[in-house]
Amino acid sequence: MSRLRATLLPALAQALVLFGLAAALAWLANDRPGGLAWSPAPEPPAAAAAAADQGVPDIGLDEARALHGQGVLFLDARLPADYAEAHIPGARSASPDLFTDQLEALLADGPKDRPLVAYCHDLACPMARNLAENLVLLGYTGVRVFAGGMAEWTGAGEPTVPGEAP
Amino acid sequence: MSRVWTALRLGLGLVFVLASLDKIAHPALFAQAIANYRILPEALANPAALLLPWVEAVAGLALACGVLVRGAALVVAGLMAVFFTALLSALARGLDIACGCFTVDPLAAPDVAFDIVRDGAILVLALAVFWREVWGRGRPRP
Repeated sequence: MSRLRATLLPALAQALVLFGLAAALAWLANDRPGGLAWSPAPEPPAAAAAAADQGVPDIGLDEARALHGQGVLFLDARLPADYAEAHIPGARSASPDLFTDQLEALLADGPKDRPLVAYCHDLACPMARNLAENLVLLGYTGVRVFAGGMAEWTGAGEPTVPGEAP
Repeated sequence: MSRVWTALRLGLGLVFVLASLDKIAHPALFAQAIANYRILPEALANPAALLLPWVEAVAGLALACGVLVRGAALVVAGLMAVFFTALLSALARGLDIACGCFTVDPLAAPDVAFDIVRDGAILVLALAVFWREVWGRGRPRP
């Protein structure tokens, strides 16, 4: 006990001082326009519902399988490194770092109303939905989101292929 | 021998200061890196992203300069234990995520196994410094 008192207590007291100093510096450094919100306002449910109503339907594994079988173009919304490791056969890499004109060039070989399926890692990954919403804003009307993404696809034993984006 | 310990303490402190710089410069990217671990509730990602880098910087600086060394050694060893555990849990859950350790570039290729080895080495160093600076003080020294 005396050992604890002699060693850990002073260290804890000093650690508290350091924490306080760090917190003060963090607050000062972030107290500027463009700083990060300490507690981000949760997205109001109404806005989330509106986003879902924007005409970007979610599809499940069965529908994704069926569309893939029909030769519908899949868009991989993950980062290029993940695409290179493995992606759904025939899918094109539409990573979040593409500029709008690059995205449009990627889809220039077909009409804007053709069916498209965007997918990401899994349900928790927001990039497929972001991609789909961007495509809707650009005038593409046949966009769907395969919400289960790569996790559901590989979990069901569906094939994937490796390879860098061209 | 004490010179070696001083060098280790200095090195460990500088590692922590270096690691804090990119996170301090890009708190939003660091918040995303924290959220990717899926350990903290979403609401805590931003506060953690704003606080942690400064705790690293202050503790690292204190360690390197020899100010409040016992507290700094405790903070640094504690943080390393937390980081190491978080990486292990990411590996166990099969998360292929960027470490968010020295850079918060979202396009950096993730390599959790390498991060664990590197963080493990730093953890050993941090525990050694903690043992020397905090625990070792409880007994008389020759």
